[in-house]
This record gives sequence, structure tokens and C-alpha cells, in this order.
Amino acid sequence: MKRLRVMLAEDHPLIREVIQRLLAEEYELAGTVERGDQLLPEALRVRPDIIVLDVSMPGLSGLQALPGLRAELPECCLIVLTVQGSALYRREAFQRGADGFVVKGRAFTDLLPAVEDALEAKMEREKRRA
Amino acid sequence: MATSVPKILVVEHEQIAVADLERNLTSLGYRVGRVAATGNEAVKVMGEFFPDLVLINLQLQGGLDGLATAGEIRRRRQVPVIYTTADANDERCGRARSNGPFGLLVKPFGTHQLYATISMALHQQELLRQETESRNLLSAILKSTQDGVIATDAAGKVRFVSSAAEKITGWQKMEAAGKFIEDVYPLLDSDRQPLRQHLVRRALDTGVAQEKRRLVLVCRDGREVLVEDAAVPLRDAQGEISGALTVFCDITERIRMEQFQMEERERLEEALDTTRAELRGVIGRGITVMEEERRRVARELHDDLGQRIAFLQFEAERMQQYALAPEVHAGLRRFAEEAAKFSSALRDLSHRLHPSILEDLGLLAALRSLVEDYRRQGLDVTLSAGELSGLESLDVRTNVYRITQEALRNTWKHAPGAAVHVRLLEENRHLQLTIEDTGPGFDVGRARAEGGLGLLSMQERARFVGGSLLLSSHPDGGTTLAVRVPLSPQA
Repeated sequence: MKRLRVMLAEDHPLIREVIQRLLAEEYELAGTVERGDQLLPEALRVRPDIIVLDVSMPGLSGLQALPGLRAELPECCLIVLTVQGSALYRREAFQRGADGFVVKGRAFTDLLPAVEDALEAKMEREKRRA
Repeated sequence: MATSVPKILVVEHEQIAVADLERNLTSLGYRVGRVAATGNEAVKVMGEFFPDLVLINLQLQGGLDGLATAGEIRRRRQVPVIYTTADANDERCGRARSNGPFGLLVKPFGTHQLYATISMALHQQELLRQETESRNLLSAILKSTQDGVIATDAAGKVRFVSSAAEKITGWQKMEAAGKFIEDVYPLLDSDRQPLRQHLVRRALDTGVAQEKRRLVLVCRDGREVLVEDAAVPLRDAQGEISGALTVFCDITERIRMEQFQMEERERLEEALDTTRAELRGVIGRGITVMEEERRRVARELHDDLGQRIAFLQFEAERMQQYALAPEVHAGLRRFAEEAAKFSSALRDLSHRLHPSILEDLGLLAALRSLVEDYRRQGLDVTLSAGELSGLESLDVRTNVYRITQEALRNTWKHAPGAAVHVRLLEENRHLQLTIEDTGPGFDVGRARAEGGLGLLSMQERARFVGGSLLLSSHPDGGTTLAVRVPLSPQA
């Protein structure tokens, strides 16, 4: 089975390094951006199945980028990865179109399951629609 | 009148007449102080004896006669003189009447006649003395006062000019006398137009005192002087207007002083305004610098330190899968937990320094989060909001947030049991923040005076973003803070 393609938006090099390594265990790394304002153009070019995006980035925040991504790439699975673990941010992320929300410190244990859950939920929805 | 028994000097050459007079005068309560037999002797006596009245025989013999003696005496001293005469047909009687108003007794005269003549003379003398005294007093007053005084007769012709008036107008009393007041003391109104009717003329015409007015006086040499002038009509004993008096003073110097003081005050106020504006600017820059610095530090904490801690936690959890020894595994788990706590503490610190939520999620979300924090601590606080455009500038956002933060901090500190309601509305491109609590009120003025730095900083923050802040507190309870700011300071 063909591996799903994932894109990462993260400005901090340490986090980028460990998250890339983690994602690469399950998915094909299709691209990485370091700025929020590069995210949408790059995503439109790469057309990934999954995007893992940071909230705080130069140019445009992950939260600001979300509505555009949701609108342009309705099939894509959007996972927010942040150090801001507050419920307000979580609720806001989902309202803006995120499919998953993971706190960075917990990423090693939570990220891949969160992606799995989001993909499954998406498939469920598609099945119901079909 | 002299308090003691009046002393009388008798000038008489007839021994019998002297004895008669002495007896009669003593019986009437007077005292004959001295007797002089001749005019020369009487004049000499005047050098050492001061009588209240002099009785002189008109037909005095031996050198000076009665009239001449009286003349000499009165040249030395203003003392009333009464003549006695044995001959009512003496031509000197007429002259005596005309030059001495005090009395002429024709011998033989009775005690009553003597008494009446003397007491009349003493009374007249007393009146004269009083009149002289009041005239001297008036003259002293007129001399000493800085105010100019000009008196006119009923026709408005100058009768008197005080020395101060001479100095101000340039007219000497002698030259001015008899001239019309309008010529000696011409007045212009404040527009330099001649008065339709001179103040003195109006006082004469109406019989009513003319209140003090500021006018321009044209002096004799053409110089114009600012004066303050009042005029009053004068009435004679019958109540008829007999003249008028104008009292005035030169106020050029006073006006110049007032002008100077006014200009000085304006200069001071201007300087104060400038200082105030500069101070506002400094405070405004202070707020900006402080917020920017806080934001910078908060960003640093969040963007770098926060990520590094997250990395450490991530790695600690990842390493656990390779830890075969239980001690290492437990150690790594502990490490990861502490890193998570550290991360949370760092986030709190960063948030306190600068709530990035303001930029990320907007003002309402930030206020909601703030209110949530206080609810968790136990404060009964609620939040409501109208429709918001979210178009406010970051400065406005930050300062409205900081004001709310300060207000809730105050309530929590001073009235933790109070119910608080925060309301945020937007209308006409203005944000309106209202924070009401039911806590025990306080004296706003006193709170401000007693170093309410929090109050001051709230005020300055509102002003800094072009808005206003109103704090009202009722001593019986209830405090309301109302803030209104434009969405952007330029608006």
C-alpha cells in the first residue's frame, strides 16, 4: 500500500528534526516549511495527505493559516502541534478546521495516534457520505 | 467748648464798670481771668493768658481804642470779641458790628442780655472751630489720597481740583476754576470715542450717582490715561443739586500689571500644557516600550526556550523505549514529567508578560481566558460581549486587556467576595469596556490621591490609545469602570 504523504510546518530546528524523524516512521515526508505564510502555496504545490503545523510561526500563525488550508485542501488531514496546550487554543483550532491537536512535549506518544485518529474519522465521514 | 469754666479777658478803663462786670460774670458762672485797663496792656496779656472770650469797651481810652485792640488781639488768636459801649450812636458801633460778628452790648445792659450775648458768641466760636477742623480734615484727606477729585458747581464749571487731580490731568486748580468740566477733564469711552454725556454732567442732570467706569482721560498735554471714574451729585441744605464731584484714579499701571499677569498666566498655562503633552508622550512611549519589551521577552521564552523544553520532554519520552533497566525508565519518565511542568510554568510566565493570545485569538478570547483564570481562583466574574469586528489595533487590544487585568486584580485584592461583570461592546468604531462590581465602594478621589498608581496607569493606558476612562464608586457599594477607545488611535 502506498504510503501517505505528510508535510511539516515548524520554525524551530530542534522540533523540526525530531518530528520529521517521528513522522518518517509512518509516512512519506513530502515537504517542510519554516514560515506560516509559505504553508498554503507549498501545500497547494505538494498536495499532501497530512499537514502537521505549528501555531507560532513567522509570517502567519498556524491558527491564521488553518481556514485557508481547510478551504483549499478539504481532503487534507490538518494536525496542529503547539506548546500552547490551553483549552482555548484547542477549541479555536478545531473551530478553524483542524482535525487534530497535539501538545509538543507529548508529541512522541500523542502525535502518531492523533494522526491515525484523524485519518480514521475522515474515512468514517467519507464512508457515511458515500 | 472748653470743658472748664470759660475764662474771660475784660478790657475796660472804668473801675466801676470792671467791678460790675466781674460781679455779673461770676454770678453767671464765668470767670474773669484778667483785666486790662488799656489796649496795649490787653495785647501784652494775650502773650501769656489764653481767654475763651474778650470783652472790650469800644470807647477804650489810653492809646488803642476798642476796635484797634480787638484787631490786634484777633491777629494773635482766633478768640471771640464782644464790645461794650456807653454810646449807641458812636459811629464805631457800625464798624464793630461789621468786623466782629460776636456781639455789641449797649450800656446799661442787664445780666440776661450779657449771658445771651456771651453764650451766643461762645457757641458761634465752637461752630467755627468745628468747621475749620472738618475743612482741615477734608483738605488733608484730599491731599493724601491718590484719587483725583474735581468738584463743579451746578452748571458743571470746575470749582475745585485736588492735588492728585492736578497731577493726573495736568491742570492747575487756579487755571481750571470756572472752566467747564468737559474741557478740564475730557473723557473717552473704551473705543476712544468721546462720551455722549460726561459722567459729571449725567450726575448733575439725573441727580443720581454714576457708578465707577473704566474710561480714557485726555490730559492737558494730549496724553491719554486710563482712569476709573465715578461721579456723584452734591446737594445743598434744601436738597437742590448744587454741583457734582468726580473721583478718579489713574489705572494705567494697574491695567499694565493685569495685562502682564494675564500674559504671564497664559504663558504658564501654555508651558504647563506643553509639559503635560510631553509627559503624556513620555508615558505613552513608556507604555509602548514596556509592552514591546515584554512582548519580546515573552516571544523569546515561548519561541525558543519553550521549544527546547518541548524537545527535552519529547526526547525523554522517546528514550524510554530503549531503557531496559527500570531505574533508567523511571528516571526518564520523571525527567519528562518535570519538563512538562517546566514548560507549563514557562508558558504562564510568558503569558503574564505578554498574552500572545491577544495576537493569536483576539481580545475577546484573551478576556475570556483572563476571566476563566479568575473564576478558577474563586472570583465570581462573568463576561458578556456584543458583536465585535476584531479590527482594533494591537495597541488598543493590549491596553484594553491590561486595563481589565488591573481592574480584576483590584477587585480580587480589595473585594474578593464581590460579583463582577465584564462587558465588551463595539459601536461606531469604538470599543466600550464596562466592568461593574458589587464590592464595597470607595472614595475615588482619595484612592487616586493615595498613590493609586494602578488607577493612574489605567487612565494613561486609555488616554494613550486615544480613549477615555471613567471610574465611579459608590460609598454604599458598587464600582463601575467605563472605558471607551477608538478601534485605532488615529480614528
